[in-house]
Amino acid sequence: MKDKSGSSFRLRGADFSYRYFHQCFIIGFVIVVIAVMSLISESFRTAYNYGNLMNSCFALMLAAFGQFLVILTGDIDISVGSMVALGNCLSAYIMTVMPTGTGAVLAVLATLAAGLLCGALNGVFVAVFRLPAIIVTIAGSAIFKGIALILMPEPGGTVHGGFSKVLTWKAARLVPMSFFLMVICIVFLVILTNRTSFGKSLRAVGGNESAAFGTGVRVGRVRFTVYVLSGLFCAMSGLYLSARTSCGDANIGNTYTVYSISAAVVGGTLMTGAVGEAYGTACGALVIYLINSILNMLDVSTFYQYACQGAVLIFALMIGSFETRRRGL
Amino acid sequence: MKENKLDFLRTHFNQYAVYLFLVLMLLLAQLYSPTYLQLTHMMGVFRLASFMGMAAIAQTIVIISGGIDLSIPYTISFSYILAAHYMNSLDGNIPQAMAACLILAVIVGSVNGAGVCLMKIPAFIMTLGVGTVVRGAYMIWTKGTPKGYTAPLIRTISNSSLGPVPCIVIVWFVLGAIAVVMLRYTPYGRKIHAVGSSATVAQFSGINTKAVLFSVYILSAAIACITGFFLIGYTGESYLDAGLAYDTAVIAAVIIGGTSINGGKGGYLGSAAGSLIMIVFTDFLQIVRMSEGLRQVGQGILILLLVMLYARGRRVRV
Repeated sequence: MKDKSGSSFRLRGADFSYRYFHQCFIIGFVIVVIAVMSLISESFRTAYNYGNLMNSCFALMLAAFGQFLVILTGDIDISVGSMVALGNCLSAYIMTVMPTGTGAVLAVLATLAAGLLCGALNGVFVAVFRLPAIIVTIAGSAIFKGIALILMPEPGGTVHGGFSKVLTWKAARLVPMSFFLMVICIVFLVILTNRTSFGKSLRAVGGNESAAFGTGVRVGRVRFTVYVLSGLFCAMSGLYLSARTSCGDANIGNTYTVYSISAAVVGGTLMTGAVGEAYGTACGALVIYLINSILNMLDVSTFYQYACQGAVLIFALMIGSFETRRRGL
Repeated sequence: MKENKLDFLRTHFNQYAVYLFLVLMLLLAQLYSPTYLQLTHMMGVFRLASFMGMAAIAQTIVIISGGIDLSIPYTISFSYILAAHYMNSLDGNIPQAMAACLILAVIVGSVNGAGVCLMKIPAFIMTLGVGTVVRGAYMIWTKGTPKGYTAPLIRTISNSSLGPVPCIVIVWFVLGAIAVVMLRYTPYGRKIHAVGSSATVAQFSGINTKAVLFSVYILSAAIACITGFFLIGYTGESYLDAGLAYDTAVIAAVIIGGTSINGGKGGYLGSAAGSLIMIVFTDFLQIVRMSEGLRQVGQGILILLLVMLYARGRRVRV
């Protein structure tokens, strides 16, 4: 088998299942769950519901993508929820202060820039000053949430109508915009993590940092960049939430940190780094969201939600642990 | 002999430096708000810090062993609810309540330990998962409305004072002293440091790494349950999610206190000061009436500053 630089081997049979077992499992799981729910529940089967599902889940998916990249390098980002909240509050704030179309454009640009800055802040302290990632992102989370609270002490604000309409548009009244955006993001991430040299160095840093350094990978630069990317994805998530909820709420990101980590893990990303796929993370986000959504639909008390989320996470971890053992890590 | 003293200071520098910062912070607070160092106010602050300090004991032990325990806030909440439910305002029920909390500690600790030691799941995500399940468990168990009330004896311990010193601070001091002695001067404590430093080397040195790690998580859950037990005495009525304030703040307190997140280095003395710093800072910001947002920003900057000063990683990547 020829190995051109940048391309991967064609995997066959046992090799394929060896490498992609968890991802196949989770994709299959999502398909089965959606199919079963569609058969059982009439209200689930409607076109409105599928679109709604996609729309509601997309914000979490974006945050999970950011978290996924950071986990691939072996770090963690606890400030995801706060960055999402900041993105939401900043865009709502600017659009409230400047209700015109230019205001909307400015809000989008400013929020993306803020996301980059927040990520850069995290990245500088983790990569340059070499502080432990967990404590830097805890501090970052407090700072970003604080800024979001300063901008929007109470939930409120208005969002530009056109902006909201564009992002929640549905092609042929059926397929929501978020679906296309999801596909674009997944394609981008798969190419980034699997085909580019940056992606290879990402996985190398996650696998064994010293070895990567010895091979000439710019470890500091890689770790810095993933935090910036995470900030960017979280800002996009905040923007999407603004479009969808049409207001700014500083508390909107409270559950996003834990859910984004769960989504990445359920999607086959190993916490030790280097292993994971973007489409797995997307399915993981869907699973996390589906749990709450289905429990609501089946009229199960909301108190069971946490227990189910935790149980699914632990189950995914057990699969991951078998995977780790098989790979001999 | 002189070198020994200097070495001792150097290795434990982090833990003592944090006390310097605490004193500095208290002095600054006093400058800005002249009644800050009044005894009654200080004892109130210490009372609040006791609970965080007790949670910090659990977290310090786990972090020194090389892991982290994110299920502590949820264990505190559940034991809080269990204690209230079984005590039900009667002193005679205290043994029952203690037994219930003990059972909870053993179950949660065992599941954590099993995941981390036997299944080799990274501690961060395993304890997070278990914590979420614990939260779900008490949500389901109470059906959203926790019942019960604290027994008078526990309420007295958590709320009254012996002379100028609150009882709960004495409890915290005793538990903290046991923790420091255990970690520094007992073989078990040394084993925890060894496993945190390098599990492989510890294993080859003959330490039963699995047993040590497993017991550390049970110990952590037990201390979290003790914290919840006294917390119900402090507030009296039972409510959900009582312990959730103790997650990231406690981790920050431990790291500020000089314990290395990778394990092996550190001790409880620093964490105690770290808890005090976090509480004093929050309290001070409330006194100067800073808005919630600015308070959070301030906390984040404080954590970053302190960590910058003495928690940097190694320069050479070998």
